[in-house]
Amino acid sequence: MIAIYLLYGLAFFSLGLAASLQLRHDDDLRLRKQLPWLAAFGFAYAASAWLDMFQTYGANPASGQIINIARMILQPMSGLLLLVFGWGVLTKLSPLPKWTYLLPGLLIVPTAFVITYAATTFVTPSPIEIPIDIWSRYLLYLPGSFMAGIGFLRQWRQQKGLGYSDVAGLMLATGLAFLFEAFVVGLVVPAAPYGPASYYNYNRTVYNAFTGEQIETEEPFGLTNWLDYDRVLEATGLPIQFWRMLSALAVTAFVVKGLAVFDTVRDRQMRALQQERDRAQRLAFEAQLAARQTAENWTEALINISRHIAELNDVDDILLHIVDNGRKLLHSNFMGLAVLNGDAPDLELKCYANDDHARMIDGALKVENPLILETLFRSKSCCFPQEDPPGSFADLCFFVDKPAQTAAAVHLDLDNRPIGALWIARHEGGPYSETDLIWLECLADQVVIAIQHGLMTSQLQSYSIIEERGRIAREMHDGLAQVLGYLNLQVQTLDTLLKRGKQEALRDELDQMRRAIQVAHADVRENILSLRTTLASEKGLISAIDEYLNEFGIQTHIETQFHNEVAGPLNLASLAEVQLVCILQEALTNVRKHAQARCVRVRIAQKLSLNQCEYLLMDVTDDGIGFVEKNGKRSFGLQTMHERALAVGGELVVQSMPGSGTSLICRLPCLSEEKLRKQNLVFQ
Amino acid sequence: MNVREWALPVYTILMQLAVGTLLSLWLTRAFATRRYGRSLTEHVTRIPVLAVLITVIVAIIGSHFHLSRPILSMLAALNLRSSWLSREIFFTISFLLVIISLTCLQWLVPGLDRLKTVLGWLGIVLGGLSIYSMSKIYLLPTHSSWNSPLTVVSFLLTALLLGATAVAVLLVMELKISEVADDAETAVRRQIIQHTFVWLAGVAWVTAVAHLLLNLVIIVRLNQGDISAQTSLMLMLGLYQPLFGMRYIALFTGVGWFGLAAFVLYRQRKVNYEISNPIYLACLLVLIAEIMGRFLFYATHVRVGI
Repeated sequence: MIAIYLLYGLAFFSLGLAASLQLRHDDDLRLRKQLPWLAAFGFAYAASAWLDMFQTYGANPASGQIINIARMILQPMSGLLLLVFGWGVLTKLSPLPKWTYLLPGLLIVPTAFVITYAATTFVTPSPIEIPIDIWSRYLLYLPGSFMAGIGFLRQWRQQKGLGYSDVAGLMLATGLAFLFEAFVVGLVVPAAPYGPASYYNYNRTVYNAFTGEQIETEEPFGLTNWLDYDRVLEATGLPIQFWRMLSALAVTAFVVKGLAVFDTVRDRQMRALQQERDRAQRLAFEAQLAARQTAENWTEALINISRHIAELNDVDDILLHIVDNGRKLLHSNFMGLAVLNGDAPDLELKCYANDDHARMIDGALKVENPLILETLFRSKSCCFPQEDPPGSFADLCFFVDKPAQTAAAVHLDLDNRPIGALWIARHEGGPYSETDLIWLECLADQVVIAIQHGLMTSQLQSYSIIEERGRIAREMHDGLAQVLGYLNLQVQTLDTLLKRGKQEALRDELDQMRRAIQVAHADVRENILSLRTTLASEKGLISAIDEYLNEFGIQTHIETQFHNEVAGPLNLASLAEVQLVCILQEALTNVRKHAQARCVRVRIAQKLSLNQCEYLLMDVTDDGIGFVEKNGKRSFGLQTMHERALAVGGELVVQSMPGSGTSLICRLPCLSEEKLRKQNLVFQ
Repeated sequence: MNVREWALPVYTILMQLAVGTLLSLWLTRAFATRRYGRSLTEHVTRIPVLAVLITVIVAIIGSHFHLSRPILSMLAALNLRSSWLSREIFFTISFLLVIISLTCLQWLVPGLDRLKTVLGWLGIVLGGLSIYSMSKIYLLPTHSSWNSPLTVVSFLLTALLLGATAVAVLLVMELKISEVADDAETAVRRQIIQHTFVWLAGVAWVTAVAHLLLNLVIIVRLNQGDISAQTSLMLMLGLYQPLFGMRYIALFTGVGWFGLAAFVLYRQRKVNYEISNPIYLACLLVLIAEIMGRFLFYATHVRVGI
């Protein structure tokens, strides 16, 4: 029996030792935070059990008294530690259901009665260590172990729900071990002369509260000799200490094993978290790359559109380019552009792009979709994630049978005036995001800029036509009109001379008239040649100049020489080519009219720098009479040539000496290879 | 005392608890109705009224453990003219019926506020008469320690004291239930608690002090009484001295805690969950004190004669 007592204490000591060894692990497991209480309970209860052993076997009366006092202190103290541990396990491992908050309020009355009853048993004649032992078990060990058992059973359910069957099994075992401990440590008490022990263990016995006199009654009361220490011995053949030892060993084993498994599970969770984090990082990186790629695509697309606009390309081509590329960039099945018709307040489809093609609309095709009209007239960009109300996506995708599932639309404003709408639609896939809407607005801005440039270009063309008409009128006034006026006067003179019969004078006047007509004829032919050369730029500049010089030589009987020193392309901007031709025409007109030259030489060359064409040089030299500028003032023709060269970033130099001919040197800047490549791409 | 004798403290304490709770609850209801309207107060008083009913039922069931033949207990109600026991049974049963009616009305029938108010006050009167009859039973010439009007006063004071603390607990529980149910009027409930706890704590303090004074008077009276009275005093201050001391320690710790919690609550102008623990503990201590007092009441009496 003494061995059982020893092992009984040793089992609880082992529990305390195991729990305290687990404390050395530095981690944040909630169960581990409750272990100090369990460790302290194990040590305190072991000490109490061993004191019990000493008191039962072989202690002398003097030391027996001390042992008794120590035991009376240790027992409630260990019970209190177990109660704190049980409360922690029940409430701290996982949150309690909300209804449990009502339990304290509901338990007040029964608790008050039990505590009062317990207090009254201390003033009975029985030895004080008996009520201390009993009430430590009933009020501290029993609820402490019970709460710990319930707490672990809750963990069992929770871990089972999470799919950790190994942990769940251990939690179940630990919970049952604590419930077993609640039974053998908290509910089985020594025999005592008052309830509830007496009512569990004995026939109904009435004690006088203050004399301790016992009165036996004949009335039966059921639970006789039920949970007595002797009854346990009688029923199982083993003392209660053995069963308590067994419960302590079970609790120790399962708690320690449970903590180890918790560690494993936590490691598993950490690994899963790590993998999740890596996956999230990879996804974020991929998303970042995709976003960057998208931004680059958009930047390139917007630059291309801007270049189209800057190069004064045809507006329709630019709009078609915007619609086609925008549809692809926004991963849409359809993109449409509609503008308000100036004559009637109708919104008409201008161009569209779908999965197969992009096309301009020739005739008038009215856009009557309510969402597009609402976007336009409310001047509010919108995403339409779903069709609400039903039918609102009808007539959204033109020339496409499949209905749209999601759409987005933006309005086009010019000078704060609505001029049209741009919209996209998808047949399937997710709705458009706010970012998509922002990109669509960027495209809408480009559309407005293209339209604005188109309007400005047509205005400029109108101004050019007016200017050209003015020039022709001026030429006719200065040339042909003067000659016709002169001829009119000469005809009157001829009439007078004919009436007077002056044949000689008449012949002289006729010669003068012939010369005047020839000059007028030359002017007209040159003008025609100039107009034809300017308009025939599609032949290529060099061949146009060559052809023009040949015609000029035939018409004016001035010898022309053309030296082309450029092997490859001229690398001139379109506008610069036009200005170059105009300057050459003006220079040759001056040669014909004023230089009295027999020969004129034109040279075209390039100035290269680092294998790049820096500028184009045109040299027009005649062997005429030359001239001197009067008071530094240039003639109207020379001034015009200077302005033309400056307009395209070039310069013009005229060198002339009387009797030594005139040399005109024009330098125009070339485009770089990169710019030319991009320009060619745009045109492709 | 054995179970049979413990049935008496269970019955008397629970009955006084029920009557006192109903009184404090109806005073709180009157205050809250005037300030926050009938609709809310009807909801707030539902659970406390149910708790009063359960308490009365438990008390009556508990009282039967005192009887030798519980099945014949109704026969004790046949001597209304001459027996305080019969009157106690009559008033207790009447109180129970009124509380049953009131609970049914509170939970099942909306409106009828005037009827509910009248039933509540009727219940308080019947409950008060029940406590009075209960205390009159103990005024026996053969029990000199009981045979005094102080017994009646003591029982009534216990009802007041337990009622004040129990209503505090019930209001906190009701608040918790409304919090759990995410009730929209939780804030108003908090205001009710904030304002009523002050005077409930005041009532508890006054009755606790009155209890102490009453016990001092009883001690003086027993000291000046006959041999049985002096024997009772010897038991009280001798064998049961630890319980006597613990009773007052628990009582004043309980009401002190209650008063402090109510004061802090009133000053802070906010109610949070932390109020529940001090209130629960205060009520537990007060209840323990009163049960101990009742135990001492029974344990220290000395019977004279047969």
